[in-house]
Amino acid sequence: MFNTLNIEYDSPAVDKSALSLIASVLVAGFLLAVTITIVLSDKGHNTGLAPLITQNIELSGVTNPVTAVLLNFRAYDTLLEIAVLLVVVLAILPTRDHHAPFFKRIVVSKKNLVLSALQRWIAPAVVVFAGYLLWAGAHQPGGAFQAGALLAGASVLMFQSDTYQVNYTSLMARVLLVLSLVVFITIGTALIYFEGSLLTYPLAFSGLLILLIETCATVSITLALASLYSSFIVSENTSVTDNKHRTIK
Amino acid sequence: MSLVMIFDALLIFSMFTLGWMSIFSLSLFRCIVFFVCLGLLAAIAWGRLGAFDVAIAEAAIGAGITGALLLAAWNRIRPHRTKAIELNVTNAKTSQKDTTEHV
Repeated sequence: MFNTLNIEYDSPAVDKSALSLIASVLVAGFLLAVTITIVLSDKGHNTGLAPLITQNIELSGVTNPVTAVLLNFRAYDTLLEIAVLLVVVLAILPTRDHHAPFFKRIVVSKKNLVLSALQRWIAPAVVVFAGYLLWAGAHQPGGAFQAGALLAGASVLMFQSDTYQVNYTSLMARVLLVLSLVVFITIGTALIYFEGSLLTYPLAFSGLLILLIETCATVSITLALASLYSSFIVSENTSVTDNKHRTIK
Repeated sequence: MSLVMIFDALLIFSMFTLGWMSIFSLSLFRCIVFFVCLGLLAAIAWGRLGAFDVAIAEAAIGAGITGALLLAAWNRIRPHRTKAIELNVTNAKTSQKDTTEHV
């Protein structure tokens, strides 16, 4: 028995993979135990903020509690979210020609009939439905993020054929990208002057202001998500964004 | 045990299964497809929990946009095969090649 024992064993005393397995099992078990304990011990206390919101829903200008929280009670949360989205877009924004037009349509010789038919049927319906979601956000589930994501999905569908190209560094695109943040901050700071504190809407105009902010946010979110997708595409037709502009630093 | 309970149990089980498959599938493309399916099931789960706002956002952003982004990124990083091999892969006979390629 001792003949096979390696006395001068100088490797680590414990197997690292076993150690990580034990650690992950311990952490997962601990989290599971804590969750079960919390759920079992929390009888009748898990009502959360719902009664508080339903009490104050008349003050918010909208009747959908989620929209009330996102754009009135915790509006600065949404403001910072939009700022984060803008930072993400700035990080991936291509270094391209900013004199080129915002939108360009390229005549493609080979045309995919199925794809173009799908675009013609689906895209207008999605645009209308996004507008409905934006409008319905005041009193039903819906809102700016959902509408923006839908519109971005429609633009992803339109990007599938190389017919349409958007230049995200043109002046128009940059204005639209920062539109929601500018409108949000302008309204917020203006309300400091009129109402006394940041993003405290006056009761008479709160619904209108929320709708205005949400509309601008929809435009910016759409463009941001579409630019995320466009940054991944390698297009064969690079006539809008000519490669020679990349070499100019 | 009502029908709703069975539906919920199936939902939970398939979500765990799809989560596992979206991580450990051999082909990266399948991982992405399973991830999109997982997003759709998560949207249904949010709807079952009564959070319809989150369900819409999950279906639109989680499944739709993220899936499109992942597929576009996959299209960028995959080693582009030549036309001949690509034609082979589309054949049903050699579809096993796709799974063993870890792409």
